[in-house]
Amino acid sequence: MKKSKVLPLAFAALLTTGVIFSDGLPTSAAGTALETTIPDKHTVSMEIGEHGSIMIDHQEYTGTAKIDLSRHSTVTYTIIPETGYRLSVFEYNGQDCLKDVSGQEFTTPYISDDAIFNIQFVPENSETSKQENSSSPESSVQGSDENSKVTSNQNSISEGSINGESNSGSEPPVLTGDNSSYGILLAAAISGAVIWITAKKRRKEAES
Amino acid sequence: MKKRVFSMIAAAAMLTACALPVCAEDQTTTITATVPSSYILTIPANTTVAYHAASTKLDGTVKVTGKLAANETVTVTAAAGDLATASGDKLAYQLLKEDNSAFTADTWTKADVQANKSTDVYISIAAADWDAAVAGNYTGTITFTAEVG
Repeated sequence: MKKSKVLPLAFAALLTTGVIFSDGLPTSAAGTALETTIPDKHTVSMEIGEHGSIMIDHQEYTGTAKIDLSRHSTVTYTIIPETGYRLSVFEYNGQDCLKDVSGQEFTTPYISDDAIFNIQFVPENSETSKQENSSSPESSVQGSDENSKVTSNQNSISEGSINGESNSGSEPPVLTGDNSSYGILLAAAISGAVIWITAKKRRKEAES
Repeated sequence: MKKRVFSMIAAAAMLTACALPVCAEDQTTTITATVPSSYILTIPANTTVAYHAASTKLDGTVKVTGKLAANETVTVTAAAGDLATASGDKLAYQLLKEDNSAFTADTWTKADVQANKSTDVYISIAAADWDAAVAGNYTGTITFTAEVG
């Protein structure tokens, strides 16, 4: 009696399984999870050249510096060149932002990523000096930049071609190059004058 | 004794039923077997998207393998769920194919399955969307659905 109940049930189960397979394929779905993190702070790296500094929130920075800033914040940079210098390069992520510097200040756009600032300073009238340089080499000695003056003066001394280990002795320095030709001409003129005067004297003595 | 006799009679009856008469004329027996279709849908693994990445390939490919009948196809569709923080801030993204066209669905025929066709899927997030998004951890799910046609 029990067998007669079990067998039909097993047969029915077999039929059901077969229906699932033969009926076709059910729709199926599965998911791929995505994940990302947006930081709440970003690192700003600054390359600040010599002869100046940057002030951010009453903190002064020079040379190479890194600061962490809150995402979506704006920061105002106060640019402080040394006396006699001015800002020449202000790059934000490689982009020239010099024209966006108002007075001595620059306000960043909303910060949404790490950034790099490159800030450089030059002597105040270095551009003027360059222009004058092209027209007159001597004028390069002029200018308010004391370093330039020293360099130019040193150059003029070396260009003078003072030949000799020391000028402290009694012997006059031997001039070479262009200046030496003036000395030779001067010596020749003096010699000529001496010869002419001597010859004139002898002629007068002979006449008398 | 009666049972034994009954069993023998029953066995004899079954043998008689199975033994088909053979005639001199040729006869054919048609055998029909149905191999059911089956497929496996493979989808990319969970993927982490790097901050400010314009394009990120999902870790793995979309692929259909198995046995399809000649007239059957498997169409795989993808639904891009929100990429959002727990507090509800969202980060927009697109699903793209390798050729930068939008990935919404792809179909595998029997020939495609036999050729091991697979499709790379990319996540594309515009720089402006990255910049505008607020800080936080964003999670989401891409749901791939396969349907036999």
